[in-house]
Amino acid sequence: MAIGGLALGAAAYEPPKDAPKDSAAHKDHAKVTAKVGEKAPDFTLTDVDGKSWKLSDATKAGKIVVLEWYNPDCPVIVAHHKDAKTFNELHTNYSSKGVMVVAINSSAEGKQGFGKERNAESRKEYGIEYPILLDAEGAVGHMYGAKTTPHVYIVNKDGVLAYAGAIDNQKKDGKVNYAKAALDELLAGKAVTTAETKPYGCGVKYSSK
Amino acid sequence: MPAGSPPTQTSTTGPSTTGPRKHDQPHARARLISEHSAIIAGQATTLGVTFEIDEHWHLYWDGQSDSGLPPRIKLKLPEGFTAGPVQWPAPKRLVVPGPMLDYVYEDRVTLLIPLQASTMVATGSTAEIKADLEWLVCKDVCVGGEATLSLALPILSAGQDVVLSSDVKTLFAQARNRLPRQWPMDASAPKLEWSEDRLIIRAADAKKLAFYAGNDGVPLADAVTQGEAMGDTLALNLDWPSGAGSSPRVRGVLELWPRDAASPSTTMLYAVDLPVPRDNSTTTPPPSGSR
Repeated sequence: MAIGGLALGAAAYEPPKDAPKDSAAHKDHAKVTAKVGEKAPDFTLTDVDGKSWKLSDATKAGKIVVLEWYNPDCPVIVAHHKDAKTFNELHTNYSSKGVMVVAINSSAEGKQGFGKERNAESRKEYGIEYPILLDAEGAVGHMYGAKTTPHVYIVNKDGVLAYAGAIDNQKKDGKVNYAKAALDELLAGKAVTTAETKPYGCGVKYSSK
Repeated sequence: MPAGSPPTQTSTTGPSTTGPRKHDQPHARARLISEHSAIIAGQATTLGVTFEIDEHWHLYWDGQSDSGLPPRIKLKLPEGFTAGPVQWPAPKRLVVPGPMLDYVYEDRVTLLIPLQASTMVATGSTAEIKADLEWLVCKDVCVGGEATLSLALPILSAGQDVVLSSDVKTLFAQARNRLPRQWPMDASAPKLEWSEDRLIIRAADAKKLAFYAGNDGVPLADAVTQGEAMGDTLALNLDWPSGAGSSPRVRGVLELWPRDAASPSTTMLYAVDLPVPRDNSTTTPPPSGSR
């Protein structure tokens, strides 16, 4: 049974009492192990150029890492890459300070935004200057509990998850960029004041299976 | 200006932008309506923003969906007019692959906005009301929409006839039918039992219960499987303390399907706004007044 974004009269999924473990929506996905304040789950993914990228390689090299959950065709992502250059600016302004920005695409095969070609093309389209990693199985997305695109996670130099949530507070007047605020605090050796916020954006396009 | 003439409406789309994301009004068309055909100085009416949504597509409620964005409305009102907060009809649950849980509107929804005219507004003139709208409408993919709508509302003098706009009566009725009511202060209220990080809601006359988590409340630990249940009991594990501030509250809407309902679509909707008891007591003080 496919539980896509189509309601088709079903108001909600109600699990039958003896649902087999692998029934739709109850597939034994990797549990969410990422928790703010604890060591960020390590992972290795391949980028759109076929290069391998491992989180702990970056943190061991002393980098603070910003993860941007990404889908090139989500209107909210487009707004942050066309109207505004929110994430590219983080890269531009902070890479000389030892910060690395990385995009992760967890769109499953057949879903919006999936695939090497589309993501490589979007990198040119939006002028993205940092790696875009492909997570089509959704394993890393599930480990981190990534819900939206964008959903932002920041891992400090010790490999600890220091921020998780929205990129900003969405206000036009009095906008607060939570990622920027967290990076400024981490670079000043301070604790992150706003460490967790509710993310916003399109849903990550995980597999329906 | 003829008395009682209905408000006129023009619709212009917002600034066009390049790229696939903003298609004016793709998959959902917005209208700005007024409950009354005119307004009198010192009196009030209700505005509505109605979305007609394509089949299989949905808009988002203003609550704790895992994804999506609720419509944003920016009203531009003439001098002497004030608007109250948007009243959101109760949504329905939608499970999406992840699995994740969203609170959505399908087919059609009207968001209600109270409008008050001060005693100083000029009788005989027309109030030009504008609304800038932005929204995300999704199926399995999402598309952004935007529109700038306007409405001309005649201002009549006291004693003149202000009638309900007949063509939109149904839209207002449908919306009001889905507004949650205040939590009952008597014995008819569902029973609440707190234990550790769990809230159990029991309603003796219910054959189904659902809770829709609203903004600024403690999140549910598992909205997908726990947010709805058949029978008379709903057990919600709360995502607390990680999701809570210093005075955590459970906020949102409880929907109750009565066992002896007149029709299958008859439900009770209650606004929920409860303090989470700090001492894990099994009974809770009566809920504070709801919105």
